[in-house]
Parts: sequence; C-alpha cells; structure tokens
Amino acid sequence: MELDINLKELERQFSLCIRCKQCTYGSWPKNFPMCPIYDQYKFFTYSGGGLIYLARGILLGLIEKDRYDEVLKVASKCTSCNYCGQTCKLVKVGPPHQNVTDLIRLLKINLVNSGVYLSEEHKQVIDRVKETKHPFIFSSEEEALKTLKSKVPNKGKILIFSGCLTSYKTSENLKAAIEVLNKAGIDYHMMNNEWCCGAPLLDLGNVDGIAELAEHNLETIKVMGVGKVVFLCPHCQETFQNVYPQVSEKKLDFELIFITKYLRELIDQNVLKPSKSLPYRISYHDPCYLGRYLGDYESARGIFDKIPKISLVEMERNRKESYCCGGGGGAKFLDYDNSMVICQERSKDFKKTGAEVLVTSCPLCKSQFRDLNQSINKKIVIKDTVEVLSESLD
Amino acid sequence: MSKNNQFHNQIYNALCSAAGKENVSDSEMVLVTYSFDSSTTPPTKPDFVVMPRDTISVKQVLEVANRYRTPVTVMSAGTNIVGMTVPSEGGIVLELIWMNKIIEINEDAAYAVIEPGVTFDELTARLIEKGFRCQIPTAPGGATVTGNVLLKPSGSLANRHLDSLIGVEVVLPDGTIVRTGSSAFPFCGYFMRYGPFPDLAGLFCSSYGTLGVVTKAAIRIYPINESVKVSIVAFDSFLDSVNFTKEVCRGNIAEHCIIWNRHIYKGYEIDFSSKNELSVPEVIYDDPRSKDSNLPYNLVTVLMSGYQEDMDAHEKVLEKLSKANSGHIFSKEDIEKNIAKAAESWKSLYAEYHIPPMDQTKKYGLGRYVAWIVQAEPKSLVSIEKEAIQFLDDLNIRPICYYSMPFDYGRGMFFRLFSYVNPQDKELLAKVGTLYQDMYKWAMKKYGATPYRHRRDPNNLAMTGGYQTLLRAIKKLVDPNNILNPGITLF
Repeated sequence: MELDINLKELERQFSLCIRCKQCTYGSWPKNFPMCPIYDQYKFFTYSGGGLIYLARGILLGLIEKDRYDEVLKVASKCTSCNYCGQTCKLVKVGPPHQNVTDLIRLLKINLVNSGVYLSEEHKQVIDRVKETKHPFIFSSEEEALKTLKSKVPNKGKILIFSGCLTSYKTSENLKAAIEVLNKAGIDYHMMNNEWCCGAPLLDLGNVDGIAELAEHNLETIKVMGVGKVVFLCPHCQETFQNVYPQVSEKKLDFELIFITKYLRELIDQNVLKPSKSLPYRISYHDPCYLGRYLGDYESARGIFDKIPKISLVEMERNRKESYCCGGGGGAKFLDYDNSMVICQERSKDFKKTGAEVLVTSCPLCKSQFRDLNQSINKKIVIKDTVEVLSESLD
Repeated sequence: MSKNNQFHNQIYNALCSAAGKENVSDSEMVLVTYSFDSSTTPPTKPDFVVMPRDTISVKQVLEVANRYRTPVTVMSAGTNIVGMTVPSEGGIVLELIWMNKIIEINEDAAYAVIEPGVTFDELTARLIEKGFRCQIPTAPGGATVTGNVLLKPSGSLANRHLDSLIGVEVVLPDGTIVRTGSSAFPFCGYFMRYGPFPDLAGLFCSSYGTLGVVTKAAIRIYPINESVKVSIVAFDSFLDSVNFTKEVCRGNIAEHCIIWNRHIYKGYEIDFSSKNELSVPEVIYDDPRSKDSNLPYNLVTVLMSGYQEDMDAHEKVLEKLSKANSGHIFSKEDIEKNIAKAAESWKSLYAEYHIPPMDQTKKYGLGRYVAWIVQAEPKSLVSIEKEAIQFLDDLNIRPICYYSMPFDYGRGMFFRLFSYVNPQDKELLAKVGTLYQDMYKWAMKKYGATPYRHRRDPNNLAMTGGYQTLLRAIKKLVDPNNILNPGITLF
C-alpha cells in the first residue's frame, strides 16, 4: 500500500467495482462466507465493494462533509483481514493499483487526515501511542516484562522484536519464546526501549505518527548491529516490511523473519528437537496478517509436524481462506462488540473440529479468543505456536 | 422526502413489520451504496433498502409500497455494469440476495427450483455434486441465476434453447402470488413451461422488474454426460464462422458454440498481474479485420458432450464441417502458442460447468465497458458485422471486441460488440453513446435487427405499435400505481 494517496487519485479504482461480491466469499465450489463484516451485517455497504462504493459516494458528492464520521464508523468495522485484497483482481487493475483492503485503509487515513474521529477513545489511543510509544495503559505489567527480559542473553546478531501486544497482553508468548531460544542456545537481543511498531496508528487511520516510531526502532536496530530481526507479532512485521520504507529513509538492511518460520528452520537444522509427546488434538487458526499479508501458512504447521503425537485437525476455512478473528484493522479498539461477534463466528469453526486446543501465532488473535472466553460457558483452550513447541522440548 | 417526517417513519415501520427490522435500512451510508453502479447512469438515492427473506415478506413489502405509492427497484445481486439497478429517487431498493435457497434439484425431471438470490457459484457447486450442470453466462460467479435468466442470457447451451427458464413464482405489485406453467396448478411441479393456457413466464423476462417480483424460478438443468470436449475451430471470415455454427447446431453436433473475434480471444492473454502496467498483446491495438495477422479472424468454441461413441462420430463430422466452411480445427500446439489462457477459461466455463474466478470481470479494468447488442437473422448479421466494426473504427476505438452465437438452432443470431473506453474521456464516451443509438436505428432499418435489451430509450417500445398497447394494458392492470421500477423508463 502507498500511504500518501488521496481519494481523488483513487477515483479510477473506486469506479471499477461491479458488485460481483467475490470479495465476500471463498473459492468455488465451497463458496465459504469470508468477509467478516458482510457476513454479519448482510447489506452490501458492509463489504470490500461496499466500502469502495462509500468512498466513491464521497467523490460523487453524495455524502456531505458533516457525515464523514458515519463513513468512518462503517469503515472501522472492517478488520483489514485482507481477504478482499487478496481475492479481487479487478479493482487492482486500475492505477494506482491498490488492492481492496488497501483502498479501505486509505479511505480511513484520508478521513482521519481531514480531522474526522470516531470517538474520544479513538483520538485517545492515537495520542497515547504518540506520547507513550505504546497503545495500552499499563500498571503492573512493566515489572513482569522486566523479569522476563532478564533472561535474554543480549548478545549476538539476532534481535527479537516482541511488539506491544506480546509484551503487555500475552507475555506468556514472550516467555515461551525466551525459553525455546535459550534451550536452543541461540544468542539474541531484545530492545530495552522497544517502541510500538506503529501498526495501531495505521489501523486507526493516523499515519503521521508512524515516522517517529520507525526512526526510533530502526535507529536502535542499527546501533545494535543485528542482521536478523525475529518478530513475535505479524502485525509488527507487516508494518516494518510495508510501511517503514515509506515513512523512513533508513534502510531495512537486516533480515525480517517471523518467529514460527525461524523456529521451523532451527528444527530443520536439528538445533531444536521437539521430543516430548503432546497427545492432544489441536486446530490451527491462521492469523490474517501472517497468512494473507506475509504469505506464511506453513511454518507453524511445519512445527506441529515435528511434535510427537500431536494431532492437527484443520478448520473448514483455513490458510488463504481462513476466517478472521475480528481483532485486526483497529476493530478491537474502534468497535469491540463487532469484533467479538466475528470472533464468536470463528470459534464455531474451531468447535466443529472437535480439537481440544486452538493454536495461533498472533498475539492479537490470541487476545481475541481469550476475550471471547469471558462471555461463553465452554471455554476455549488457546495457545500460541511457540508455547506448544516449548511444551514439547525437554 | 425528508427522513424526519412522519411519512418516512410510517413507511419505515411498515417495512420493518413486513420484512423484519434487521432487514430494513434507511441509514444514509447504506442508501449511498445502493445509489449507483459502475456505469455512467447518474446516481439516485433511495429512501430504504429492504432485504426480504421469503415470498411472504416480498408480498408484504409490495403492499406497503403500493399503499404509500413508493417506487420499488428490485435487484438480486445487483451485479451489472449498465445501470439496470440504479434505483428511483426516494423509493425502496428490494434486494433479494438473501433469498438464496436452492429449493429443489429434481434429478428425475431435470430442473432446479431456486430463490432469486442463488448465485451461479452456489448453484453450479450443488449441481456438480449431483452430476448436473446449467446454462453458464459470461458473467461473474457472484451474479444470480434468476437475474441472469430473466434478462434473456447469452450463456452456454443457448444455441438450442434461448434461455433455461421453465417457470416462475412471482409476486404482483398488489401482493397476488402467481405461479406459471405446470406449477400454476395445485400439487404440480415446475416441470413444464407450457400448460393449457397462455405462457405467462415470458411476461416476466426482459421486463426489468416492472411487472412483478420473481421469488422463485425453475430452470432447466442438464446431466453431465459421459464424455465432454471443447474444440476450437479457426476461420478467416465471419461469414464462414456463421455458416459453420449454424450447421453444427442444426446437425446436433454442438451443444453450444460461440464465435469470438481476434481482439476478444487475445484479450484473455492480457497480463493483469503486473502491479504497475498492464501487459496487453499488440494485436489488440491492430485493426481486428487485418488479414496480415497470423491469427485467425474468428475462433469458434464448440462444446460437444455425450456418450463416447457419439463423440467419436461428432469429432469426425466437426472436422468435415470445418473444412467445408474453409476452417480448421486448432491443434493443441496452436492453442498452446496463441490462446493458452483463453482455452483454459473456456474449458472451465464450458467443460467444467462453472465460472472461472474473475476471468470475465477483470477485463473491465481496461476501461468503461460500452456494448452494442443486437439479434438478427444469420445472413443479415454477416453484413452487420462488417459495417459495425467500421463505425467503431471511425472513432479510432480499440479494442473492438465481439462475440456471436446462434439462438434456437440458428434461426436468430446474437451479436455483442463492445469496447472499453477510458472513463476520464467523457467526450469519447458521449460519442460512443450517440453512435450506438444511431447504430440501433441503422441495424433495424437496413437489416431488420432488434436491440437485445431495453436501453432506457422509451422510443424502443413506442415503435412496437400493438405490442406496446397490449403491454401497457397489462402494466396498468397489474401495477396501476406504477410502483415497480419506474426509473428504468420502460413504461
């Protein structure tokens, strides 16, 4: 996605949608519902195509400026799951060749740039990231994080970029990653002053704050002199990979790799040997940002392949046609109830498998299912891929 | 109509009672997205969008609309590029996409009964499971079967039967529910279009939602045969192609055949995957009539299926008829070298019985689709083709695409000529619009060709004399308040 395109420049692309709705459902012959908001609201408006029509409605003068907040309200329900971006080949044909998901992100960015906010909380989160360099309000978590980080060797040419969600909301993922890497005898660093990658700002439609975060993170990495950055959150990696080159002149002269891919490589090299049997059934939820954005569907599955006795049962909608957990695109901040409804829909896929544990590789997905557990009777056991691997190591 | 007034609220409440609150919206954001399509038809905003889930809801919504004299524009998926579902100002959009049940697949009598929201992707998936297929259009898989069939499609299997409609259940504007053909009788299924009384199913075809709301359609389905093959035959003249298609249809050799011109079949080779620039084969910018090209003037796709013994014989006859009309069957090597992507797409469409994803739609990325569609007798069409291409060439337009096919065993021929125009070039778009209107008049006067669809030109119906009188009388009878799709300007 190119960040600095205004709506007028996208007019050609907006006019291409012919309402075929292929952005909303999966491949023939199964034709699974795929767009989490169309699936829920049923009106065309709430779909990749519908959001494009809304943007075109602005350009056609059908929506007055004082109603732009209503456009943002609809757009904010989109979880940026990127199914429409991956599927629609038509809209992308027109210049400047953005995919549907990017067009929706650009719609949000343009609206926020023109001073439209959805709520006070929307503004507060943006301000908080800019001021504190993290999106959350912390209290005691800082101490726990310090304790965890004390086990990091802080040497070598590898950096673990934890990300705010892993550090503060799913720190057990970080704990597992540290345990696994320490068992493998890998030298690595973590930043003492890691700042938010900027993904929440992008999701909330505010990109002007990302440059400062990118400059800090890239400068720190440069000073540390590492050659490889291992990400524990796919949202962070996507931001580094696709957004940083647009907001910073600093080069990404290091390898970017996701933790599951890196660990799979260590297993292949016999550095890690999962040997403990895990005799239970799991089902793997493909995170949208790891799959449809970064193109990695197999590394986690490759790890499960090497764990004795574990049994992977696929959900009907998997890999390129995995259904979103509802948390992405800022939806968790901007429309929490909507994001939970989507998560509940995804949980039905999991329940149908009969698996005992839902495994994923994204801290946001994990936090979504954990939140869902608060409102359902039959709780879902949720683990990160790295936690599962950690259990299997002696 | 102001949203805050009592009248609006009364209608809103009545619609909610009729279709359920969750299926009704008067939200400004929803209304905007139902105000226009990708065509140049000017946007008009409705007051309500209603998505009924069953026939009774449709009936009740129409009763509300009639009571309040509110126009109703019906759409199933709304997938079209010519403004057919742009609503009337201040009315109701009745979107039927969630009436999407496949009610019956009758394997014995070979028909399917479906609701209007069932898409081609949904129906073909179910039919394949049961060893059946249906007529497939050159439309996206998300287009609805009922919407397509009511518009008199030009899809596969149309050579023998123009369309695949057997019967409909339709709700008239006053709420009366009507079934046509055999299903009009109690206890009877939809197996036969024609009963002892006049055939009323045809009344709702090409009526663009102005006479009733179709809530069920029965369509012909066909068993998948033991053996299937799509042959591609090359010709150096349109006359030869037309004669060939007539003969293979009338000889019952082909289940379906279509004539494609060079620009359209080479269009499949456009590389849409490149991020920045389209890679378009140079031949698409040449004169489509040029003889110096190494590529045939036309390719004809011939779908044959049946028992293996029939197929062996049919292939021999096909070769004979190709030669007799100065054509030749494209070899595997020819296909691989010249039209690999087109052949792949035709294979899915005709021999695998489903619509390949985005294959048809992504070409709209070339520009605004502008089409001129007529039907004529075969000999007339040969002359029309020559002159029609010249008209477009005079405007320096590229590409100049067309495809053509026999209907009803070649009694009539279908001809769709089209191009893609830069949407920013308003002047050229206007010129093409005017040219097409003149061409319809020219083709009728000189060659007895009729427009294929209503083009929002009230003069078309006015030319029909007694037919118009009868149709208007029927309209007045069933829709005295003219609530159904007045924006389409048919009446």
